[in-house]
Amino acid sequence: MILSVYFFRQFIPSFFFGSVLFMFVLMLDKLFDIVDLLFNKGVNPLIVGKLFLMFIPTILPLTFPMALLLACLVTFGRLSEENELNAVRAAGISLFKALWLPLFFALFLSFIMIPFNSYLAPRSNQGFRLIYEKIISADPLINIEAKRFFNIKNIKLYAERVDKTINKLEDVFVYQTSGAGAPAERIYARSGKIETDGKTFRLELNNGQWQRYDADMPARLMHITFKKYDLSIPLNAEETSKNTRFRSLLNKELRKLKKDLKSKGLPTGPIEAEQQLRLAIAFAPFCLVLIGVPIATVLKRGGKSFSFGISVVIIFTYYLLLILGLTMAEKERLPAILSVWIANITCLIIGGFLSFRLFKK
Amino acid sequence: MNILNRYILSKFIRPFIASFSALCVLIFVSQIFDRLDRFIADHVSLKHVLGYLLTSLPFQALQILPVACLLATLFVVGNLSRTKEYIAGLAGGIAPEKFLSGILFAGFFISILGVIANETIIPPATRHATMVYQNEIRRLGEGKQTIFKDLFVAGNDGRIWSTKILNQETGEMIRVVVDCYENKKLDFQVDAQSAKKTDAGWKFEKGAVRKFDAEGLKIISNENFIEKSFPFNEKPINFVIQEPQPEQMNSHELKSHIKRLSALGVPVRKLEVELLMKTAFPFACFIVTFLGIPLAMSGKGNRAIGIAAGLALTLFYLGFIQFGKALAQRVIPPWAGAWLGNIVFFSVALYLWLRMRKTA
Repeated sequence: MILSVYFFRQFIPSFFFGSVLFMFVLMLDKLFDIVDLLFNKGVNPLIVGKLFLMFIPTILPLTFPMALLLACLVTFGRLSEENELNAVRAAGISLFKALWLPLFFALFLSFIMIPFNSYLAPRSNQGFRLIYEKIISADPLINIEAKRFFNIKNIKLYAERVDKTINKLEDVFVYQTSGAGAPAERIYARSGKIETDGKTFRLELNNGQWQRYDADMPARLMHITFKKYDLSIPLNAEETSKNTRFRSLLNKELRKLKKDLKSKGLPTGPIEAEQQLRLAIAFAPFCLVLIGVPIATVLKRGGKSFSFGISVVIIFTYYLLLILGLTMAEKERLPAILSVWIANITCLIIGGFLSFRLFKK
Repeated sequence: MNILNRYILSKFIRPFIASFSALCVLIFVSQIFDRLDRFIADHVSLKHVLGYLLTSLPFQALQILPVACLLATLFVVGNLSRTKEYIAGLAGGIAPEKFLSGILFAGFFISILGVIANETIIPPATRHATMVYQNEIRRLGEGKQTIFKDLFVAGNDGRIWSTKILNQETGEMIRVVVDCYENKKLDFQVDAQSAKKTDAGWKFEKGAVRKFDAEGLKIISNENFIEKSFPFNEKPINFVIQEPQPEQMNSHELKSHIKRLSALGVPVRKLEVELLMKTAFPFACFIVTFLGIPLAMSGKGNRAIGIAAGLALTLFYLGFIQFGKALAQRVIPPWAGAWLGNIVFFSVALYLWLRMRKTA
C-alpha cells in the first residue's frame, strides 16, 4: 500500500499541472471577451465570474483525459527511466500492486464524469448562454457600435453616433423587414434611446420620418414625420433558444426529444449519438490511462518532451476514432451504441493487452 | 553563438516542438468537437471540414505559442538544475545569463517568427478559413451564393443602401432605396425599381429622387425618373463581404483599412489596438522565457514550487495582456494597452533575474 501511495503521489501533481494547463489553453479564446465585458462594458464582476465558472465544466471532459494521459506518460516514463519500476520488480513485487491506484483513480474519475456529462456540462452550456443573453438585455447598447448595423429579430438598427453613457443614439436608421415583396419599412430619427426590461426591447425615437414603400412603384410612397415614435419588440425567451443544440440538453430532455421524433417517424441518429457520446467521453480517462501506463513503462528514454510527443499521437488517434464513430452514428450508418464506443473499445483492447503483459512480468 | 549556447538551444527545441504539437492537437480536437454536429447537419464534406480547421489553426497556434515556450523553458531549466549542469556552469565561472542565453535567444527567435507569421502565413490562412466557412459550410455546400435578399449596408460617403434583392454576379438590384446622409443630416434619397452597376457608378431605373428639408425630415422636392445615373462608387461585392477581421489582414492591409474607416468617421480604436498587438503579442514568447527561467530556478529547493509559480505567473501575464487590450479600447492609449503586459512583466522578469544573479 505504501508503495502504491508513493507512486500515486508522484502521479497527482502532473495530473493537476496538465489539467490547469489544458484548461487555460482552451479558455484563452474566451479570455478577451470576459476581460472586455468586465472593463469595457462595465458588466458586474459577479456576473462575469459566473459566466467564467459556467464555461469551465464545458471544457473539463476534454481536459481530464489529456491531463491523465500526460501524467501517466510523464510520471511512469520517469520512474521507468530511473529504474524505480525495475527495482520494484526485482524486489518481487507485482507492478499491478504498485500501480493500481492511478488506474483506480482514472476509473473513479470516469464514473464521476457520467453524471457530470449528463447533467452538469449541459446545464453549464445552457447557463452560459442564458447569462450572456441576460447581460445583453440588461445593457442593450452593449453590442451596438456607431456606423454598424445591429440586428434584433426582423429589425436592423443603424446609428451615426452612439453615446453609451446615456444610452443615446443620434441619426438613427431603423429597418423593419416584412418578408413580402416591398423593401423594408424605414424610420429615420434625429435621436433615439434604447431601453429593455429583459422581456421587451424599447426604442424611443425623436424627430423623425417613417416611410413605407410600394413593392413595384417607387412613386407610391407613404411618408410621415413624427416628433416621437416608440417601437417595442418583445424578446421571446423561447425564440432566443430556438437553436438549442443537443449538447445543451439534459439526458431526460434528450430522451423526450427522441421519443417525439420517433413518434413522428423522424431520424434520431444525432440524439442517440449525443447520448452515447456523453457516456463514451466519460470513460476516456480510464481508457487512456489503461493504454498510457504500459506505454510509459516501455519509454525508458526521451524524457518529458518524448512523453509529450507520444501523448499527442495517442490523443490524436483516440479522438480521430471517436469523431469517426460519432459521424457514423449521426448519419445512422452504424448503431450509436457501437460506433461511438469504437475509440474506447480499441483503447481497452490494446491497453488491456499491454497492461496484462506488463503486470504479468 | 558559442558551443554552450548551441547546446542549451538544442535542449530547448525538442520540448518546445512536443509542447507546441500537443497544444495544437488540443485546440484542433476542441474545434472539431465544438462544431461537429453543425458540420454533419449541414452535410459538409470532409475535405472542406479539414480545409477550414487546418487553415484556422495557424491563428489559434499563435495564441498558444507563449504557453509552449513556457513549458519548454520549464522543462529545460528543470533538467539543467536536476542534472547539476547549471551548478557546474556557475562553478566554472559562467554567469547565469551567459549560461542560459540559448533559451533567451530561442524565445526571441520564436517571437520574431510569430511577428513574421502574423504578416505572411496567418492572414491568407485565416481568409481562406473564413471563405470556406462562409461558402462551403454555411452555404450547405451547394456552391457560392450569388442572390441575396433584404440587404442593408452602410456604403461610402454616408450612403445607407437597402435592397430587396441583389444579384452579385450581374451587379443588379431589385427595389432599392439609397439614403444619402451628408453634413450630419439626411440630405436626399434615391428610391428605384432597379439599379445596375456601371463603369460610371450606378444606373437607377423607374424611380424618384427626394430631397429633404434642413432637418432631414420633410420631403421638399420629388423628381421622378425613368433612368438616372449616380456616381456611387460601391461595388456589388462590397454589399456581401463581411468586414474583414484584423487577423485576416497583415499590418499594411490593416493600416489601410483603418485609414479608410477613419475617413468614413467609423470608430477605429479597436482596430488600432489589434494593429499594435500584431507585434506586441508575439513578444510574449520572449517575455515568458525571460520570466520562466528565474522562476524555475527558484522555489527554495522545491522545484515543483518554482515550476508552479512559473506557470501561474505566465497564465496571469497572458490574462494581463487581454486586460491591457480591453483598457486600450477606452481608458488608455492603444500603444499603452497593447504593450502594457509586456512592459510590466518584463520589469518583473528583470527583477527576478537580478535576484537570481545575486544568489547565484
